[in-house]
Amino acid sequence: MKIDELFKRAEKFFSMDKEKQNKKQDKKKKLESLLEKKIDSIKDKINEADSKKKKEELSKKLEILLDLQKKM
Amino acid sequence: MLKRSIYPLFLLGIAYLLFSSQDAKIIIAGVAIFLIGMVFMEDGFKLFSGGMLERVLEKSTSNVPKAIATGFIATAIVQSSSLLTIIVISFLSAEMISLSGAIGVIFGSNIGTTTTAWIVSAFGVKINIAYYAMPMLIFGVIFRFNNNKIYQGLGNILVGLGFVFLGIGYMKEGFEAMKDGLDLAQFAMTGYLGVFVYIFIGAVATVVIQSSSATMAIIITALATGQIEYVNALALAIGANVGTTVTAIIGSLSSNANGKRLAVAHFIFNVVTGLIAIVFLYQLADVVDILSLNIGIDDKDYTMKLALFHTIFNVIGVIAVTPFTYKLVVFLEGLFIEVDEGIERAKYLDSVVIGVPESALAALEKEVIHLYDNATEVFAHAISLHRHSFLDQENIFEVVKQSNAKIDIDVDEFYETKIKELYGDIVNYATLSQDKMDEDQRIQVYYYKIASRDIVEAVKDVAELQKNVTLYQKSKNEVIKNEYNLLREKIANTLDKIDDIRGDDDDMDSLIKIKQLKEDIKELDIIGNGRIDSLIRNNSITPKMATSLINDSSFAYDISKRLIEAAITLWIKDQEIKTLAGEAS
Repeated sequence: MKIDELFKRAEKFFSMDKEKQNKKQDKKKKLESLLEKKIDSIKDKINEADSKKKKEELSKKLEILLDLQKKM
Repeated sequence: MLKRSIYPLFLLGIAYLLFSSQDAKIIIAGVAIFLIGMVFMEDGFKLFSGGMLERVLEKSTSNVPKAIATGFIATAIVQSSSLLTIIVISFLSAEMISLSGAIGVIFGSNIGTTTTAWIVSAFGVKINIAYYAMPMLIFGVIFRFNNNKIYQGLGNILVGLGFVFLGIGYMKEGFEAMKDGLDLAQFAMTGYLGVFVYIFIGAVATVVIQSSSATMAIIITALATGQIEYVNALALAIGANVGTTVTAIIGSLSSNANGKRLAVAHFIFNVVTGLIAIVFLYQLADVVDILSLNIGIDDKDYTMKLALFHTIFNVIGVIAVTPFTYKLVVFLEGLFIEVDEGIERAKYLDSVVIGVPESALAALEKEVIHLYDNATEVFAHAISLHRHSFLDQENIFEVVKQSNAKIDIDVDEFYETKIKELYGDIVNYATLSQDKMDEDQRIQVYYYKIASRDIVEAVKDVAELQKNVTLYQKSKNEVIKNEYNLLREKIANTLDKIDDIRGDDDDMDSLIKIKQLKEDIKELDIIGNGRIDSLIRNNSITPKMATSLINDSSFAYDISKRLIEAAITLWIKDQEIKTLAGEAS
């Protein structure tokens, strides 16, 4: 690879792509916070649930969200 | 045909004027520059508002007075009644506003459009307006090069205003120069003959130029330079109002029933307003004189008086026609009825709004949902179920077991009449609507295309599945019957959960349901989970049944998966959650 091409790629990575990366980071953070809020709300609902069936249902939902959170 | 033969004549006429008169050349150039300015301003407001105009219109048209006020304010701000008309037609097609609300906006818009006359008469002909055009053009062009959409929109507005000012400047200059050679005032006509002749000229000029604002600018500049008499200018203004409805009617010929209804409402309004103005022309002129004195307009300031006249007769028109709005709605709904030829076509895709990205996207979304709703009928019936029997049911498998009667539906015929043409309309519209869209909007269009394709492919798959579902439903072999009931249950469950997702306000709840659904349909992989092996080993089913079951499980899986993907596109609003739902497996 020619040196000027290497510089071009590096420039692209550090300048333009940085903006994209920042955007991606922001989106990820937003999503993480949404997930966290939902997880907390489901945990609260589990504590408040009066039937076993309801608790199980909510626990399944919580499991799904925790799994998604882990994969992020 | 008429248009084809008139157009060359029109071009020849323009060419003759350009070569024969230096002054006419300047005036025509002024009109052309003015029109370009209007186009830039319209584009600018589309970009600058970023969909805000649409949101305001959607929320502020719940009753006729509110709709009139909204139409007036919006047109006064964006200075384009055609932009407003386009948005209103799209909302009407998407059933986001009522016909009476849409008519109210059009009435209000007619008053709003008179603000152009005020601007031109107050600034355009009194000061050297072209002097201000240059900085606007320069800053406008600089802003247009900015990557930010708001700056680009502002740039277009400034460029548009610059051209409008420049155009007015040229028109004024042309009329002033013309006065030295040819004094048009010598053709002034008094009495009602003059009124009718000048109304006709005003209407024809507006039909040719396709903009009543441009016609008004010409009338005002000609009046300011003394090239036409005040009374004749009043008649020309009435003519411009009538002429603009001809343009709207021609534009609506290729539109759907809603577009036609609105164009006819606009036509009726302007004709009634025009008739009132003709009959009471001299009385209205007196009213203008009295009002002018009270609001400080000089008795000799004919351009301002013309602007006042233009506003007064449009306000009178609104007052006269508004009480009959609901009767007008009933009349128009009876006049234009959507033709049902047995073949389902697009309901929401209006060609008039194809150039407005936000409206085109909203129309596309509605249409893909329309396609989905059509398709769900065939999914349910092909597996011998009625939607109302399993939607919202706790135990869908029990419902499936109980529903053994075959429902007569020819899936191929259904595809030909209810899906194929509609799908074609969506693909065509999606492709043509992309010209003015930015990258994000194009990606959205791409997703709508994919969602439509998924729905259509699912319909084709269900045609295959239907054959064996019908066959094995009557089988004496309880095992294979049960296996096919499981397939039916998975599809019914998918439709039921998607129905839930449609009603969800919280995208996170939808995400959970999508994830659960994706897990649930994995059970349809009967090779992967070893189910088919155990059925064969136990001699529960014949090898022929086994091959059918393998194929049909695969069809059922594909149908469910495609519908889930379509649901993600259509009903999860948050982009990030949408991506996560698409990736979740």
